[in-house]
Amino acid sequence: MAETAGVHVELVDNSFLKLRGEIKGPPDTPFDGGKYILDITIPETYPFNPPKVTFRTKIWHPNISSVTGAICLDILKDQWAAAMTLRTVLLSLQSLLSSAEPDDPQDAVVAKQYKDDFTCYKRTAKHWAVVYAQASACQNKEDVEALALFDKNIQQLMQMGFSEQDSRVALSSKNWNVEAAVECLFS
Amino acid sequence: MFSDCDDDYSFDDDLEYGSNSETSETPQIERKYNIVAACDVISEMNKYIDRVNEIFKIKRSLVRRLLVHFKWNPERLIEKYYESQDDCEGLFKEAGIVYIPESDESFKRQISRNSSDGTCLICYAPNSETIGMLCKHYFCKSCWNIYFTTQIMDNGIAENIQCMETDCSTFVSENFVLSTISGEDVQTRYHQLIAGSYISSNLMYKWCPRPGCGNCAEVLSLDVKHIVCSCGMEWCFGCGEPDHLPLESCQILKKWKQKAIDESETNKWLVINTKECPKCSAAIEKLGGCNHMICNNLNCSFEFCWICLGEWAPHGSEWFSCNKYVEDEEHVAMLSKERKAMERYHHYYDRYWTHKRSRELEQGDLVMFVQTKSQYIQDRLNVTWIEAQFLKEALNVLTKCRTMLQYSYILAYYLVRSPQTVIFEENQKDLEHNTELLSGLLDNQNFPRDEKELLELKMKLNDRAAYCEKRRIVLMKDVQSGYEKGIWKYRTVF
Repeated sequence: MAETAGVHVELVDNSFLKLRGEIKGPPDTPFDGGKYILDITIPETYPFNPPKVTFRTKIWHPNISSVTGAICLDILKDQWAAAMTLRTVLLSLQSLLSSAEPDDPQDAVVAKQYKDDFTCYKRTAKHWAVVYAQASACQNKEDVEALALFDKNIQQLMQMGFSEQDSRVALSSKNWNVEAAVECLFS
Repeated sequence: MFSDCDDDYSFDDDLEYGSNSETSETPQIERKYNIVAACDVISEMNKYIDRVNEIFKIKRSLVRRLLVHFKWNPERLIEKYYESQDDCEGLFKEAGIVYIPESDESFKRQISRNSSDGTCLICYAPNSETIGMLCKHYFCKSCWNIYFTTQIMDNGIAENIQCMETDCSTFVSENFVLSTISGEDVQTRYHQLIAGSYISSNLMYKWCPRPGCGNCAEVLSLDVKHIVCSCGMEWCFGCGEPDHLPLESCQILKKWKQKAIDESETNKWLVINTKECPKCSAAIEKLGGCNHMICNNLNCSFEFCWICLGEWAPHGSEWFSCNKYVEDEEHVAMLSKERKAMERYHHYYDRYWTHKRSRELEQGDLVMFVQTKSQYIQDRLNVTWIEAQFLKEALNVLTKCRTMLQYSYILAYYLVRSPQTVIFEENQKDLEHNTELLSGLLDNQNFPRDEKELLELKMKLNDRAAYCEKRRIVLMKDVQSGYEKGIWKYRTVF
């Protein structure tokens, strides 16, 4: 498939029912330069029913579950049309990355952060993109400092004995407030 | 439409003995209902819509959507309509209808080889005859067919199926769907879905519960409960379950089923009556004797004390005095009361279950066996098909008796004992005894070898079946008159 659009699909084994997709994080978003792997399952009734798509790469986005990678996108549900293709699906997912729909969230915690503290959301999303999707680092000096602080906070929680992943999830959900995150981890 | 007001046994296999005069004598509620096929429900619904539409004079499908929104209450719809000063747009908005021109009458089959190279853009089959609607999106008929079938059968969507093209929200018309889909089951399901809200909003209608049957029962009064569908299914209009006479109350049936599903009763019995072997954890019921227990599990054979569950050896063999736990009398009394209730429940449940299970087995294996036997006597003994039907007729009687017995045990469980219940139990006993004899006769593995043996078998079966049917009706009559006279009192308040 067209590499130029930044989307790509390949077979996992020799059946056409399981595919692996890949999309590039679109420019001017926290996901810029990131590589996102998708698990695609084709139902037997395809294309009359939509393919099942989830994010394998972890991502911080209101419409994608930060835990399971499940996606909330209308065309993967009731707005699917039989004339659509995998290409349209991947391109739609790419455009979902550039324009989130916080009012129709999959991950309520992320969506709340998106609406209440957009800067924090953008930096958290960037942090996740750098860690999990090898996205390009930030340019803005303030952002660079903020992200460095995020890493420090994670280190701090890890010294207390929590795993890196748990620490990251707790801090991200609590706007990087160490005390709140610790409380959340203990409860 | 099949009108079935007076003679609802006309669906039966016209039993020689279960004669109509006899059944009509039974003091059952006069059953008045119609069995309506799914497509007739649609035409009835459309007639109804058209009557409402005399005011609006718009497309039928739009009025249908409006009526769905107003829960098939035309007065409210018309009231709203006049309130909004004939402003249809507002009404549509309120009903959540996106006013998109539906290509209803104007649906045309266009062969659009010219529009592109005739390749269907879904299956990529070249030179296919592609068809489409006013929105001019053309795909091959086979793709449309699979698409509609998937929507109807898998997704349960019928009302708002849209065009297959990306971002095209033209609704597909009923005519297009019906002219494209193949298979009777798909059509039936489509009708059911379209008429779904019409049926469910109307108290007088219910679908036949047999899977795959598209018929609907329309009762003329809500007292009507016992329905015989033209597919042969006998069911209860009250709860939508298979017919459960002589047990009249759907509520009791529900309660009984809940009790049975829970299995809590069984567990409770285990708790009250058994203890676990301290070594292998097998459940052990103490039926009598001393407290020196030896586990029956041959791999275990652990010897222990029933009271303290400790190893038996330190208790000695000559004496018994375990002072670790003393059962107080009150506790024992309570236990024995619960135990009695448990035993009572199990008595009825076992019989209920046995008849249910027997009926299920008889409907499977015995039906096959009877068919084989009937074929055998036709082939070997020069008997016509009609003459060989006595086997099947006896089997039908057997099934009916089993059903009756099955539900009679639920009734018996909940009834307060009275002189009438003694009569009821006698009737039940007699029916049960004869049903078992009938079952034994049918299940007899010996095939008649000559005409004499065949005659003998036929006579025996006919007599037994006729007697069973008679006893079944007697039981039913007795129970019905009990309901009418208010004799039956229940142990629990429902």
